[in-house]
Amino acid sequence: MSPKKQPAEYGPIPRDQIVQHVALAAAQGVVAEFPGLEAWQRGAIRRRPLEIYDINGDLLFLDYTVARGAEVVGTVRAAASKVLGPPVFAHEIGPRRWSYQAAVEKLAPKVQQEHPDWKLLNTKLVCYSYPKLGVMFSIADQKKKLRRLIFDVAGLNPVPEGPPDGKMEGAYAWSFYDSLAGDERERRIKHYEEIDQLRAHLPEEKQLVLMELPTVAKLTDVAVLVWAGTVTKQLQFCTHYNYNEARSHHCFSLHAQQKSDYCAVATCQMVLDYYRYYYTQDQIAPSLGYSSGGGCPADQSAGYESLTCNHLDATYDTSPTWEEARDQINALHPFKSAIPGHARACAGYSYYYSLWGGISQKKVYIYDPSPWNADYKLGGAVYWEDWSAVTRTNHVYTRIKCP
Amino acid sequence: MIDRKAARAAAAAAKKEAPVAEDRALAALRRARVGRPALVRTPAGEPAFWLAPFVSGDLACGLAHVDLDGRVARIGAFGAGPADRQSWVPLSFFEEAPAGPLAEIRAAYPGLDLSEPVLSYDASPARWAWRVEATGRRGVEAVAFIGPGGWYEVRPGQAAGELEG
Repeated sequence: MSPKKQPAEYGPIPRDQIVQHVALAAAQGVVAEFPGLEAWQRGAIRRRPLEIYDINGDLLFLDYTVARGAEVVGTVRAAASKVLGPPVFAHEIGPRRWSYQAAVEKLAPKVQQEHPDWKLLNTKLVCYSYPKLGVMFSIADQKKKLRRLIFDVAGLNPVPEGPPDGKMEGAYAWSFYDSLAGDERERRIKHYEEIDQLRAHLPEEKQLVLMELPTVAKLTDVAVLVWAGTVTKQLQFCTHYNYNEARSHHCFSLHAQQKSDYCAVATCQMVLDYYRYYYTQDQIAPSLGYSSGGGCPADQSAGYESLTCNHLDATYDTSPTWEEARDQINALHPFKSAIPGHARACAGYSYYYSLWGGISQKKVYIYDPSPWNADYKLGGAVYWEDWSAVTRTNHVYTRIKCP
Repeated sequence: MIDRKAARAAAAAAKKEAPVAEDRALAALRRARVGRPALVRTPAGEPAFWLAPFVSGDLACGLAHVDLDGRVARIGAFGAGPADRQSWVPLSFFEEAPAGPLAEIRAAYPGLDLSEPVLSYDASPARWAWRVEATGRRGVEAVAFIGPGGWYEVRPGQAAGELEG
């Protein structure tokens, strides 16, 4: 079940996935010997989280308690939405010095006393200025005019609302969700999805172990599995199925170059086929400026656009990076990847991830129209190519134009 | 520069690792053995890299391109998937230039001397092929490349340069 009260554009994270991320994070902290987490080794994660809301009313975080019997030894704070970025925000060490219930019990009479004509609608634990938590009272007067009152959950002092101005840090309450601009939201969702791949690629039985929330010690075997690993993404035609699921349809097919100097032409044919534009290689060649015995000029972007009646945007990039290539594949956009004297199509990427070493062993998945063959169904090759092994002269990125 | 044995070992190790080991399109590689790596030379004749074929019967179902320092720059399969056997390349191709295209090249250049075929590449190492020079009184008059799908010629001065082919 997805957490409640979140707009769809936030990308609400299903509750079972949140639990898995929390379990993994707790175990990883123990395996990594994070200072202060020694007591977590024999602890277990309690199943019912404490819900923390944004001051705009939407669910923001879920705090999962780690306890040894009745003794609380820490908390794992999980994101409720993909738009927040990392699935887990914090490992909090030790018991908390505040209690939400106690704060409400103390504050509610005060609120009623100071607003005698207002009706108390509800209370929520809110993150009013990350990472500060507060109690938010929603109240209404007799004309149903709404107000919200926020108090620090530990100090019980009232907190005024206002945008963070850079001068008075934490002096105001502001909305975490509302502070995320459009491109920042996209970046954070991508970040979430990258990390989530490590969880999603775990064998099903390991995912079930995470769901059961046994002691943290029993989770560490699973944590080691995602301590380091290879993340792979291949082009798929839609986002409804992952590329490695049986029902996935990647719709990217290898075409050999039908002439010895048709590499760019065959590459363009493969990319356009993906977008459902079907041309023969001889039909494509003139649009790419092909000259017999030499091939095509490197910037073929105009040809990609004209052959699709300008329905595609094609961008010529002479300083391509692996990150750009990765982002293109994540957006489900195949592209031309050129090395000196040769063009191929790229339809995937892979990298090795480790907590300590970061990202390494960057690779791209190449549909190479070479070896050439007059019958395009016979030649060509598909391979993984080490990003750093060759000099990439240019890419031609494609995407469907938005109206 | 690593030797043939090390190139073979590098290819064997690479096919067992992710992402190759998990790639359904490259399943044929996992069942294949690593054949005898062939040394590919630059057009000038210098050692450039090793091509280690993945062998299934008398065919190569894929290749590992192993740099001279032992790094596997590329590893993959011929054709579009593990069942695309028609796209696999005769293993003999990586041992010697195929006789049929060589005979056609001889017939195409009467009166010219043909060099011994050298496993090399045309413009890009990704376009590996057997390279044959046709020499006459004016020097090298044509260069022919033999790939698994046939042969073609490149006239002197017709090198790809800024073009992609």
